[in-house]
Amino acid sequence: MSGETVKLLGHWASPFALRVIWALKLKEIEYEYVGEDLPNKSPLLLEYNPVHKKIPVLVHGGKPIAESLVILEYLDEAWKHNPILPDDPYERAQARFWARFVDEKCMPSIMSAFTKKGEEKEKAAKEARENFKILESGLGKKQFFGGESVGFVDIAAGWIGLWTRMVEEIADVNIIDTAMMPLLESWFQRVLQVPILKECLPPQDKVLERFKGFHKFLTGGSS
Amino acid sequence: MAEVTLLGLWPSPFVYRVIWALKLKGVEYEYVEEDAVYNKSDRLLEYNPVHKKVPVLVHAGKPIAESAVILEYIEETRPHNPLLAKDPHQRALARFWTKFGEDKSIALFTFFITEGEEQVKATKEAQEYLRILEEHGLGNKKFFGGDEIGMADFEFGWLNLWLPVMEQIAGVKVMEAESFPRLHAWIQRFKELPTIKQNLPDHSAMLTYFKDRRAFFLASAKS
Repeated sequence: MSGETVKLLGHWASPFALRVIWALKLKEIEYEYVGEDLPNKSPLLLEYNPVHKKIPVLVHGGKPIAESLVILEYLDEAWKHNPILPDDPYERAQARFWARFVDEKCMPSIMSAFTKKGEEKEKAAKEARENFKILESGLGKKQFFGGESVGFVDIAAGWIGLWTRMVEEIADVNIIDTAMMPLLESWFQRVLQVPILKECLPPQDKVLERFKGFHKFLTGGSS
Repeated sequence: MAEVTLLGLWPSPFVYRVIWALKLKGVEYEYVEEDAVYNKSDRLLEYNPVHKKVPVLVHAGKPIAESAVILEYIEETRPHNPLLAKDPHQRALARFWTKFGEDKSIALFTFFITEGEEQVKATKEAQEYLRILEEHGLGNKKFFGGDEIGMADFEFGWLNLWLPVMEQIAGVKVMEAESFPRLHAWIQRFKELPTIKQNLPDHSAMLTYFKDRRAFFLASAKS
């Protein structure tokens, strides 16, 4: 396995590509990064992900794998060093459950709060807060979702606090409520203090500018 | 496996995925029917506080929710008659298509809860996804899993009975045999497998149930 080349097609601002970068770094897997100039999709991307035409795509020994959480599972199975998922099947099920919860519930409600206006925006923000509260129940009193060290859910969601703060600033909305989710909030800070995760973060000012651009485009400017 | 309980709802294709996996792997379990739509029991709310839905698998008192997560759990705790190949890339493909099925499931049956122009539009969209599924997911394989059925076959297993029932009630043909020959051939093979043949809900009960559901959805859309 280790002999074959690993390539990651990604985008500097994408949190989904960031998941894969974090996993590759944590597992000490050598890889070549190919930055896509979205929205111009390269022929390589269209060839490697004809179904969704999206990044991230991992290419290992010429074979492509798409969908960030699918890639994370693949990395853990193809490289045994520094596992991301726990050993115990029940714990693995919990990790999968919470990673999906982030994608299926947290993300859409945060995006709604970002793109909607007025009452709809407030309603979406409330839902996003409630989803974070529920997510907190998956963390409990642990240091990380993975326990003593970062694991699958931390890698899947570790960037979400930072991204949500940007959404709050740009869309003038409140989602992270310290009183309501103290454990999750301290996890937001703690997870990004992990050196490997911290050093891979894209420049936050550039991400903010990009978000501002999206917001203007999606909402016509006002909140 | 120690005591296993499955909380289910008899017309649910999500529940049937789990039933097929348990039956295929020879896992003894107790089935508990939940009125998960109209009258959620305390037991359901306790075992799936996050989503309050079925299926929920309870193994030695510990609950697991979300059908794809449950299938992975069953696969890991009962390797007999595997649902996933040994090769990591094949496993990644199975997970990719399972996710495709989940992400597109609402789009795939919107035709059932709409009428008129909306239904025409929804049918076209469903057909686009089925085309992608047939071309890229199934291709010329016997099953999604290759020569043997796997996780992705269970993900799309609803196409064999639920889809024709919904098509009949909604009065629209989504997946014509001439337009989707490979998917149709796959359905014929899938239906004949003993695990599937012996574990399907009653056809006329399905017609009654889904007729009511369509009426309910159309009425809610109007109000």
